[in-house]
Amino acid sequence: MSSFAVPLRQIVLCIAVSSLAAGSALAQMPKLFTAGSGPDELWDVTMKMEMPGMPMAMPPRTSQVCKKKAAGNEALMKGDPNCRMSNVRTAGNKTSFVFTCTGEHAMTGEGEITATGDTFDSRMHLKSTAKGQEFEMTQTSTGKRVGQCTDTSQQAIAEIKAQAEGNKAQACAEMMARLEPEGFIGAQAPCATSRKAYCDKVASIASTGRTPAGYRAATGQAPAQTLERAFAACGQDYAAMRQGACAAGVASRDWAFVANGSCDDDVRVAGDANCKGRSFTGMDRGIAPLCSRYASLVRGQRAPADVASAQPAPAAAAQPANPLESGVNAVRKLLPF
Amino acid sequence: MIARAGARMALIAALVATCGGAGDAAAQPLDDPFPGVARGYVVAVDGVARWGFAADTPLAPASLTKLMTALVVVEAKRAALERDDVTVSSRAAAAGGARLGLRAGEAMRAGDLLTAMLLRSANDACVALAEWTGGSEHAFVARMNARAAALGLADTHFVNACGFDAPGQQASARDLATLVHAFMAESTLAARARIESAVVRTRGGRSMRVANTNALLGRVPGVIGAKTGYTSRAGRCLAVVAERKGVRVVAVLLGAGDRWWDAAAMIERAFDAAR
Repeated sequence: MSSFAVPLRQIVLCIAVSSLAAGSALAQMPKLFTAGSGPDELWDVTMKMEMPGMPMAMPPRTSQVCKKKAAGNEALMKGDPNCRMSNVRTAGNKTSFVFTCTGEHAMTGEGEITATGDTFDSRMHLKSTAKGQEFEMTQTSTGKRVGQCTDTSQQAIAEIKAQAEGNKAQACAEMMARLEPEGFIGAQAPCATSRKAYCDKVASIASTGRTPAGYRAATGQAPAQTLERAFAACGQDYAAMRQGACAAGVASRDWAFVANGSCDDDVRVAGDANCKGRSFTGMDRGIAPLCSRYASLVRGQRAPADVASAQPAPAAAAQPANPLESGVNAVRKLLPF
Repeated sequence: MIARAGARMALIAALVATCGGAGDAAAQPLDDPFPGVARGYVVAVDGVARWGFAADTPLAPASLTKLMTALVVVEAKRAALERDDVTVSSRAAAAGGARLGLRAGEAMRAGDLLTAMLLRSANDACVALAEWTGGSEHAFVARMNARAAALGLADTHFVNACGFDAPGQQASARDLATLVHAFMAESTLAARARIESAVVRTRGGRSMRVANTNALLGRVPGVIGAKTGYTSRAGRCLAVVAERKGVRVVAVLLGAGDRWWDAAAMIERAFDAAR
């Protein structure tokens, strides 16, 4: 391989990193170099890509690239191990080559570059396949050395890695807080290393959730459907916890809890005992949530006989028989309230 | 012969026009999971009618009328409600049915009259507010009908301000559900509708406690208002609003057999359905 291929490859790699840095997804990426002074070379690079068949040409993009002053050609050649350059020919300032990349992003192509110490001009043409369809792409670049710089890309990469680790830790903590089993259970789970801690937490909830307060706390952390999946993933019995909490709610007459929609079997039994046949307006307010829930279970979509059994006594039965008062009531009935 | 054919054509045209006039909303049948609970009812979740029976049938609305009365008063007299006193006319003082017991010539802050009208359904307060706002009850009723038209309440018409039975005093359950949304959108009305009891005072110093006739308040979790009604023709009526976890349920029952239990059941079931 010609030694001329080294700066070419370095610049191409720099262009790739620089292009990534320009992407909006990496808008907060640490700076890759400082311009103005330093041991490395600052280049203005303009790149243009063309794909046959694309309805609109992509505009050329100019960026600054800091090319590290190479310690040695061997070090710079530690590029993508899946790519090989071959048939490298040099004539004067011009070098041509063929390259082949294997692996996930397999491609073939050829290119040429004309370079002096302070400028370059390159063209690469590649062929690849994406989603079963072949495509071709031509990339042309021009570059001009414009000054000095200090390459800080290694520090930037270290910062990015640390940031990614931090983001992952934060995401796992949030999934733990929300009890989402997808984060912890399964070979592809992103936080699989915390599986034990996750299931320990679920087991703790299974233990404390057998009281109304515990059940409220659990369903305050995550929706019931998420809890059910979490319990199933960690081998806990969600139904047993719910039934325990409902029974405790009935025993402590925590009707607001019993009426929350999770204890309808208990509502039917407790409602038969405490609500059936009662006047709504005469009912103690403390028991009203239970009776409202009970009403929703026994009224509607039912046979008329069931209605009667759940109806409170008609108000008219409680009216006095006093003829004067009856007359007043008769008049009142003509008037709105 | 030609005249008869012309009359037949006119009749057919009238029938077509009438059928078309029933409207798209009326053409949509609603599920009725509570058969026989009321002459007409509707249950809406987040503004969409889910269940109902005879939801578009005009029926006597009794004091649910006062939802519109209150809306028109607030929209016309917003700035004056907590500032102006209203002097009770002899006509207002003579209003029957549920009442505060105001005397002709007595004055009360308009906001207090509004509270009494909404909580106790006081008809003397209602007439006083209508006269204060419209100049006369008759003129005020015209405003109510204009507001109903603006809301698109095609099956609603008022001939008095307070809901007394009268030919032409009518509203459908679906229209009233729409009206409830407009009513609750007025913060001063929504705030009053959820009060369980309040004390109102005349300028002369008489104070009266008024209890809210809406028995669902404080009993059914999430209930935040609206209004009850009863007349011999309308039967027991109720419009109620409940909110839980950002979901709003409105139930309107006209001519209900057992409005409290059935409304409680409807509200619970509606929230279940919205989960």
